[in-house]
Amino acid sequence: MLIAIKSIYEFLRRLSGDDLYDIYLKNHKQCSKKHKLMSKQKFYQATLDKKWSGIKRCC
Amino acid sequence: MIKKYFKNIVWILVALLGALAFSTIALSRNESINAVWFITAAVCIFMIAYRFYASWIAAKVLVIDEHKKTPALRLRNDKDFIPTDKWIVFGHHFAAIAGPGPLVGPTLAAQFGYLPGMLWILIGAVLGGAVQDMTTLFFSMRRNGKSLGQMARDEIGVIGGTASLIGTFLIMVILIAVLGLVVVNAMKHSPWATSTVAATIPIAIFIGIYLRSIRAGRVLEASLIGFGLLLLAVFAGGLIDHSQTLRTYFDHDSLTLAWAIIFYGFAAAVLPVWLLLAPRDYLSTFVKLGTVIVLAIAIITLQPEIKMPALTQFTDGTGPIFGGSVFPFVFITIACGSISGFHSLIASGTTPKLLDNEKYIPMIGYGAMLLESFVAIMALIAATVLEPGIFFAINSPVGVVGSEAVDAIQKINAWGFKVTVEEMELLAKNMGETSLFARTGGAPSLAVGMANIFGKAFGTNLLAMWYHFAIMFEAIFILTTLDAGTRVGRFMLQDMIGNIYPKFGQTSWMPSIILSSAIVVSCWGYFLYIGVIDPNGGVNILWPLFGIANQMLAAIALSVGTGILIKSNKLKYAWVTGLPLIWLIIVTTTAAYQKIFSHDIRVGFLAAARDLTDKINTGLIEDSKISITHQLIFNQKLDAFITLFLLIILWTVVIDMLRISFFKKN
Repeated sequence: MLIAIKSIYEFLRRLSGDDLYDIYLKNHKQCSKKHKLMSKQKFYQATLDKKWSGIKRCC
Repeated sequence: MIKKYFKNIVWILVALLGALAFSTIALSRNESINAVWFITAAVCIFMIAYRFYASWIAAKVLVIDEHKKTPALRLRNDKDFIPTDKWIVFGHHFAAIAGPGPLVGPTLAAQFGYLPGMLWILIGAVLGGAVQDMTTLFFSMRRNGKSLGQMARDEIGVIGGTASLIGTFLIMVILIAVLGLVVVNAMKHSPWATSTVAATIPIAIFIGIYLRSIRAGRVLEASLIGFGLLLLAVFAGGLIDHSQTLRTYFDHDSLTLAWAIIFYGFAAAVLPVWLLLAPRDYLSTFVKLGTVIVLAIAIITLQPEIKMPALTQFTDGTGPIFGGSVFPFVFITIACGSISGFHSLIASGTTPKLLDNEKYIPMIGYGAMLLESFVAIMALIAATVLEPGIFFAINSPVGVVGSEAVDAIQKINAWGFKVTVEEMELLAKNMGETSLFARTGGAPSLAVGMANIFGKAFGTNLLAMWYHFAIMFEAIFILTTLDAGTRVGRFMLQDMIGNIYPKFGQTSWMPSIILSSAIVVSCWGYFLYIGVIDPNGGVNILWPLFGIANQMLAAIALSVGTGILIKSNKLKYAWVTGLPLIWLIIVTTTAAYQKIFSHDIRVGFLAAARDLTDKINTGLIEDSKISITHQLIFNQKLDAFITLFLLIILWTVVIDMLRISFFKKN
């Protein structure tokens, strides 16, 4: 039961983008040494800038 | 081997169940039908379509290659091109395509009865909308994530590219105006609705600050807190409504509310995204998904009967909400939910730059559109479980049924739909409103339908709460689209003017932001203003205009797809995009022609302009209303011009596509 709740929670986090920073940290550790690590705030701002800089919402 | 047989049997059963549900809906006449059939038909048809049609298109027509490196992998720059988990992409893509359109369109189209809308949503999505989204996504991915405009320019020529740009801008302007009108009609003289909708603004700002400074990026918990606050706002709205002093602050007429929305639209477009737009978008996506899931569960549990007949007499074009016969207008009225050209901009925007494997194209392109269609089915059910008399009393504008309740009821009864003044008064009282007459636009009737369903499921003593929750739920979507649309229009203008005066093209330069936002807001603000002063309800004009513009954009996207298929020697598969394209050309051309030239004053713009001119000349218009009537005449002519313009663009693109595909191969 607990495992099921945990996996639903993980799925919701993934779907909503709640765990984007965790993924970024993981990726950064693994491969991206050329970029300076962004703080949570900076990363969130960058995500929003990217998300809303063009036609991003429909009817 | 046994597993394979078992799988086949399951799919055969799904197909049979879908066919049974579909034929029950299609053949049922003069007898009540249960809403569960709608859900069964939709789920089975969508499952079959996804499993077989989408897979076939992927394998045979597009020849998807799961070993081919996608732009996200090849051009990875961690800025635009980022390989992303398929579920995140699905979430982004669905949130981007799912606006208020599928809630409003099916509700308005219910004036024809449930059948035309239902058939068009199911067939249109499976054979048209989902195909458009999926093929556009694929073609964009195979072209390094190019946008629809760029692809149209490359594949069809400058005309195609420019047409998609102009089409996008026009859709944006008309869409925002009509959605603004829907909100205005829901809020006019309703302190509860107005205060609740107003409260969503500080709530979104609080969540914006929370997400940026208190718990950066914690979308899930922030959305939960925001959702709790939204519920509190609905409850507080009820308290405000009951307070004689407080309610006066939120009791306004349509015109005041329209000006408030225009002012708000400007402010929201100028403010940074993190403060208002982004947090409200998180809230609206969660509320939409949550509400649709709960609505589906409630419908399955309660199994409500559909009260609207399969077909009403308004299929002949005399409908009160908007004029025009079932063909072509049901296909124009329901765009989002069946096929929406706007989706092709999203499918050729961010999504192709994120997918890390082509094998997910059916899931994202086709699957997300089916989910969007399911939302449209829910909206149609919520509207058609209402007594038709109540549905028409809520949605018929003053210009059609008169401003007095008694006159409106008499007219609706004469149409053959039973409803009494007392019933409407009781309904309004139960919903916490003073009146529900002439709330054209779909939002209030949808809210009444949802409140009824939720009320039956969770207790009827909370009807007014459910009603205002549903109004708030629709309003946060609409306001998000309004902000985002104004912003997109601003970017487009900045880009265009930037070609002449480069400084203006800097999207962060404040004078450019203010001026371009003001221009865009003025454009949609004008149509909103006219919509509000039009006694026939601006929805009659604006929604078909939006539908025509949106379907024209879909035709451009399908032209690009068909052109690419023909040029890449896949003529035998060109029908996959070609058939929906031909249908859209027929529908859009007929609708546009009728909207311009029909002699029916509720359909033809020019006929309406002539009628108003005659009325002024013969002294039938009061002196005090002559100035407004002149504005209405000008607007009818302007709408005729815009429609003609869209029609010319459509045919130019299609002819150019055929010319280039067949005669310019080498």
